Amino acid sequence: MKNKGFSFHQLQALGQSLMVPVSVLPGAGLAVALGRFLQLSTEETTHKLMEGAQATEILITSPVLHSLGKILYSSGLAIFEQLPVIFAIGVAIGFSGGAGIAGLSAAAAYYTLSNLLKAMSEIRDLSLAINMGVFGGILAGLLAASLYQKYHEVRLHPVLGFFSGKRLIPILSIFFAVVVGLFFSFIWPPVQSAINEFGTFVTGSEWGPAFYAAGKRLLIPVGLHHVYYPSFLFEFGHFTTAAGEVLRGDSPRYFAGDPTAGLFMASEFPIMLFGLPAACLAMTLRAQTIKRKAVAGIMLSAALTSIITGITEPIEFSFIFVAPLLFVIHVVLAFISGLLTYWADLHLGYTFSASLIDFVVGYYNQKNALQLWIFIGPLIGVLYFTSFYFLIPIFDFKTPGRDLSEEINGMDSHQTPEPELKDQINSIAAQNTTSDKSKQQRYHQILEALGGAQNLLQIEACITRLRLKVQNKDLIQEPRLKSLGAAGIMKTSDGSVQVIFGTESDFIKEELKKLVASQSPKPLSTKEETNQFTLCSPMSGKFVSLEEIPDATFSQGFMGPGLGIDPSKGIVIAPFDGVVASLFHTHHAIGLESTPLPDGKKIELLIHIGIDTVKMQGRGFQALVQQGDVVKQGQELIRFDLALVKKEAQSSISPVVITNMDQFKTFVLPNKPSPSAIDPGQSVGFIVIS
Amino acid sequence: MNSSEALVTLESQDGLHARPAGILAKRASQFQSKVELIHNGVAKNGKSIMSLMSLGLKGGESILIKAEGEDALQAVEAIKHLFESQFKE
Repeated sequence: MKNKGFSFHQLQALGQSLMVPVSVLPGAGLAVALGRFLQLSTEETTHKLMEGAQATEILITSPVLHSLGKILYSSGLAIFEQLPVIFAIGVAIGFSGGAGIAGLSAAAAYYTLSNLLKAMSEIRDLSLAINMGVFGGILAGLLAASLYQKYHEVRLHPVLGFFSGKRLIPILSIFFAVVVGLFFSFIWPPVQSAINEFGTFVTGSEWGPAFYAAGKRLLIPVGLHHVYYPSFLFEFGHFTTAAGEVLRGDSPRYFAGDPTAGLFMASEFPIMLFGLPAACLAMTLRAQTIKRKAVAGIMLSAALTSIITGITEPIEFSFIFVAPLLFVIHVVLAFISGLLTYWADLHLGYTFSASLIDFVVGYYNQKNALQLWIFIGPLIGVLYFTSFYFLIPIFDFKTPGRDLSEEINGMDSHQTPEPELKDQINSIAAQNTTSDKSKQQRYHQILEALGGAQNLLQIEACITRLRLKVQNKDLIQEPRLKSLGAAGIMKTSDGSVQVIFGTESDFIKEELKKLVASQSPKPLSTKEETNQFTLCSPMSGKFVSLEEIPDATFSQGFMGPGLGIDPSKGIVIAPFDGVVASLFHTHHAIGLESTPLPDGKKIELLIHIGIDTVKMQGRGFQALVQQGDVVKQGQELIRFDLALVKKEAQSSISPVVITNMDQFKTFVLPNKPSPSAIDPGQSVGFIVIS
Repeated sequence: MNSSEALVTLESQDGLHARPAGILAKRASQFQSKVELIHNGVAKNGKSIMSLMSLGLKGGESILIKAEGEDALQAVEAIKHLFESQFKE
């Protein structure tokens, strides 16, 4: 596999792997928050005048709680202090698909890199020591992961056998870290001063928080916001703790108690807590009356998700693609939000997203938080509400519940709009109430709507999206995915597809992986759904409907439901794995019994070559199997002289019928198969099992 | 519980192929009783087309019809009649 430049897909993979180290932060944030709270609430500060100068005396009311607070605070802060190496390990694990050795190698590479850069700063006598910070960590992580991908299966000479395969990766990582480090010791200083300047500019600028909030919104549709925000959260700005540790970035500084931190993070709270929920209200009110109740359910759960967890995609993807103008307004309002929070000197912090939970956790270092509730939040809410409420009808944007063609275009004609919308509610509400069986069915349907197991080259997920690499994008059934709960679908030119399923994306990813693993790649697949058995054609020829078969016994359904095939070749193959249940001695008809279905039932299929061929007394028919033989799908069963059949029999039209239909629900022909040629193994119908 | 049986001979030279098997299974299914056809010591479910066909009964061969249940007598009579009328129903 050769890398041709840095593709969009790789950039996405990077964004996704950045989620791994970020997942460490909420735990650390909680420890720091609790620690700070315990420390501050057990301290009493008194101011005294001593020898003319003001002196501050701190009295500790409860030494035990204070110590506990200190323990929690330092423990949690450790993570924020070691962010680069956490990123190195996390990115390597994320990027290599979970390889532990890649994580170890990344740590080794990072320490190598960081000491080498220190040494080079001294050698080159630079005034500003080279420090790549979190970028160095990410670089080390990517380095280790790509070395892992390339070389983890390399076999060395037996003498060096110990270092074959995975054990080779740490050594290579250290070696390459030296090479890369030397390179970056020349490249990085100008970059570093540029970053410092940009950092100083944005941290000091009144535009900074606005750019942060708006930039993140702008990158959400392509999923690259994960690449954008770490600089702000983990790199810009410095803060030295009482213990002398230097912390960088808005988030670590905020939680360590830096009073100047939290300006960037604050810019997002009005959007998550007020703006987007207000947009939900507007979209609900603009839904058609008949659908409003269902839309209200979806929007309420999406709004609560945004407020409580700070995850906004379920809302954003309900309008971004159908109403690009609203997306532009969303970005502009995020910018305004950033300007307002800066202007109000609002300082708020989070480790994950601007949610109510993070608001509570980070309360101790807040500044002007009241402004959020009484002024900025409501204002942003009103702005979102009015723009959505008035623009939707003007441009007739097809936000949820406004598109009448939704159900007409739906793939499943049996689905009425109500259950379709209910599906979405279920999905966003994490499906607590639906049974395991229907969930399983839903995963099967999702897989089908994605074009089946064969179409999926890679299945990944981040918090809210399924990230896929597919063989053929055209096989993706967007309306069906939407009816299965997807809030939005994005395709890019290089074959990556993102499907936004909200917070359950990760579960769906796991289930899809299981399903794909369980479905061995069979060209003649019969099992598409547990509840449905796909019947493949045992012959090549033309489709003839059951009613048109020139024999009353078959055409009146006496023998069971099915179809007729006017063969174009004198070969009968097994349409599924099973046993030859009956082979008439004249070899003109064969009965097959399928291997047991998941519920233990077996399908019995009669393939009758031609009509009244029993009269031919076996002439022209050659059986390749015997009654009782086990047969595999695709195996040849009977060869016959087609010309002779056409000449001597009443008709060559061959009924293919299910003789034990009383055990199943229905047999469904696919939407009127074209009268043109059917190939052996081609799906000709479905048996609905229960 | 009643049980009944009758020995019949298949007159048609074509044997018990798809069409007669279908007719027989359908007729047998109209009765509550368990219906079996026994040929060469092998008993097959008389209500299943596939089972009947797997008997491979040829023209001129004899077969035992056996029924067990409330309407066993009627079932055997009905099936016997099918054989006698050569499935021209």
